[in-house]
Formats: sequence, C-alpha cells, structure tokens
Amino acid sequence: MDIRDLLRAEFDRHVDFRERRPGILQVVAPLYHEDGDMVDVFLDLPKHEGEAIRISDHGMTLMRLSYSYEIDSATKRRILDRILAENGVSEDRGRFYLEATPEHLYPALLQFAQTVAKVSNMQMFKREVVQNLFYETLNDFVASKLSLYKPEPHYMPIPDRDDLDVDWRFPLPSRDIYLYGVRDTSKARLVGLECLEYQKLSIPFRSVIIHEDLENGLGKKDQRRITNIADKQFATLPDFLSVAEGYFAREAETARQHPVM
Amino acid sequence: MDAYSDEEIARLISCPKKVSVPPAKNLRLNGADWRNDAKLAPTDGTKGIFSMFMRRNEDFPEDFSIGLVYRPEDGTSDITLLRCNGKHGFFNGGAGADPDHPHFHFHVHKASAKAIRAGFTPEKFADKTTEFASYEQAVQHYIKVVQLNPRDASRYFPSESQSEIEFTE
Repeated sequence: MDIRDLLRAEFDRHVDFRERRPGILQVVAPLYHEDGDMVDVFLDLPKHEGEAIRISDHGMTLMRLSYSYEIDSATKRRILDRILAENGVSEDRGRFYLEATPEHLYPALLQFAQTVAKVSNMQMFKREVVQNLFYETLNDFVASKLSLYKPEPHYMPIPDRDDLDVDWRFPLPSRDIYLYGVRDTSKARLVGLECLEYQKLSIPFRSVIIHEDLENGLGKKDQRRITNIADKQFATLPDFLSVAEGYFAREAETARQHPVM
Repeated sequence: MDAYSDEEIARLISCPKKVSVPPAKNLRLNGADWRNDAKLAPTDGTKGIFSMFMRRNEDFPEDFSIGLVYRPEDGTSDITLLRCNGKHGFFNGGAGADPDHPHFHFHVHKASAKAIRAGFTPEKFADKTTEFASYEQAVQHYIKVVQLNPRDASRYFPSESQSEIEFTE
C-alpha cells in the first residue's frame, strides 16, 4: 500500500467520538499529554441550524495544569493570554474554546489541540524559566512602581567585597533598605550570610526579603535561619506586590520623621 | 528529574503523614474546576514536605484528580508521586502500552523509576483500579495509601458516612 494511503487510513482508524453528554462529543484521537492521559477535546454540537460548532476543553486544560503549575501572577496570565490570542482561541470561565463551521472543523480541531499542548507546556516554566520570571517580575516592579525611592540595583555596601552585593538598595535618610528576592535555598543562605556580614560591620540598613514561596520553597531550618536574620519578610511575591507601595511609603515617612536613629 | 528508585517512591508515598496545612472546609470553584489543597508533613523523620491537590471538573464531575507531590528539602525539583483519577477520558500507559486499546476507567498514575530513567513525566504510567468508583471514594483510598494519620483523616477528610461533601462557589 502507498504510504500516503496507509497514513490516511491510519488517521481515520485512530479518530473516534464518544458522547459525554447529550450534544457533547469527546474526540478520541492519539493526542496524549506527557503523563499518558489523552488531550481533552470536545465538540459542542450546535443547537440550531447555521450555528458554529464549538470546540472546547471544558476547563480540563487549566485543571490539569494546576496539578503542578498555577496561573497565579500577572506575568503568567499575560503569557497564557498571549498563547490563546496568537492561536485564535477564546476563554470563558476557565474553558478554552474555538468556534468553527463544519467545513473548517478539521483544521480548527488541530489548531485547538496544538493550543492545548502549548498551554499545557507552561508547566515547563516551573522548572526552567520560573526563576527568571520571579526575578524579572520583582525587578520590573521595583524599577517601575518603586522608582520614586531611587532604587539602585546590585549595590555593594563593602566596596572591596564584590562578592557581596544587594539586589536593590533604597537610600533613605536614616538607614538604607536592602531588598533581596529569594526563591531557593542557596539564595536564602547567601542573603543570610551577607546580612550577618553587614551587621558585623555595623552598616546601618534594614533588610527586606521577598520570597517566591517561603513556606514551600525553603526547608524548616532555612526558614528559621532567614527569619532570625531578616528585618522584614514577605512570604510570596504576590504578597509583596500587593502591599509594597504602602510599605515603602510608610518606611520613607518614618525615615523622614526620624532621620537619625 | 533526580533519580528515584521504585523503593524510594513507594516509601515516600506510604511514609506516615499528618496534615500541616489543612485543606479548606469545602471545595472552591476556580474557573471550571472545583479544587482544594493541603500540605502533609511526614511523621517518621522523612525529609521534605508533601502537597495534596484535589481537582474536580465542573462540567464533568467524573473527571477528577487527587494528587501527591513531594518537595525534597534539598531544593531539587518537585515530583508528582501519585494521582488518583476519575474516568476523565482515555489514557495511554506510554511506551509498551497498546495504543489501540485506550482505557476509560478509574485509574491511578504512580511515579516509577522506569519513567524517570526514560525521561518521561515521572507518573506517566497508570493502571486502572477498582479501589474507588467515585471522587469521595478516591479521597478515602488516597488518604489510606498515603498513610495519613487517622485523626487528621477523620477530621479533614470525613468519609461519606461521616459527612456529605459540600461545594461552595
């Protein structure tokens, strides 16, 4: 048999439909997630003649993604929205969908399945890109929303110790604020050592630590260690982002009222 | 993914645990799925922490997953050890499975050294199960398998005979 005929026959043989609810068909095709589960694609059949067929995941994509990765920040949401927009897929309360006329159903189905795969791959960000996302989000926020406090990146409090640098310094009249982003054990330990070094040299500063996830990102001993050293901590980046402007306004006001401490 | 032997995986799944961060009283609707989460701490000296997630699709409540994720203390990657799944559709057990024979059953995904060695998602391989036939039964099966202490089990995950599952939007 010609390879093309064989492939056509194989395509046909491996596509099936199962009625999950009246008017809703599940597409059974050899499209699998990495864990072996089939990609969830449904056809919501039109109730009236002339209406489009809705290809939908009925919310399964985001549900599956949430097993290991949450869309819980503005940056992640932006990436998700971009994937959907670039692939012409819409979202309604967590459900992805694409509407197609019967004659365009086949390409639309493939386009939809590809989009689901792209969104599902956002879980890779957790392992490989999230470190950059965390620091990028924090740095963007500091450089934009906290710019009136004149933050200086990579500040070195001890000029001849270039191995010790503060993520962001906020110069204030009484004592500077040294701000650090921490997302893992090694950074937590480095920040702890740095702060102890500055304390030993009586450098006037107040340390502010923003954790990616204090509770889940660090072991108990490291949590205890950094808590004993830091002056102020925020348990997660969203926690910090939601109150940071108010927090810095209060710190600046206190520094203005008490310039020498 | 760091190397885990099947023995280590089995030990992590079955080491005795207690609830360290309790689940919400009710499942909450988030987008198109009802969900809840909890943290479990080992009580036998095992290092690291465990997360429990519970997800149930709103449109197809028979589509659910109750999972156990292990986060090692040394900062290495999380690993999903176990997922008790509903009849959410079809699954292919991966390499070696018969692609012409997809299943449509309650099933359990479990991490394996074989999957990790092959570079697959650790919990890629799954087996159908008769241990549960509903979400509520799957929760009870899960807390038995992960050895949640009986006090926390009955406090946070009462069986159907103890309490009706509640849903809150």
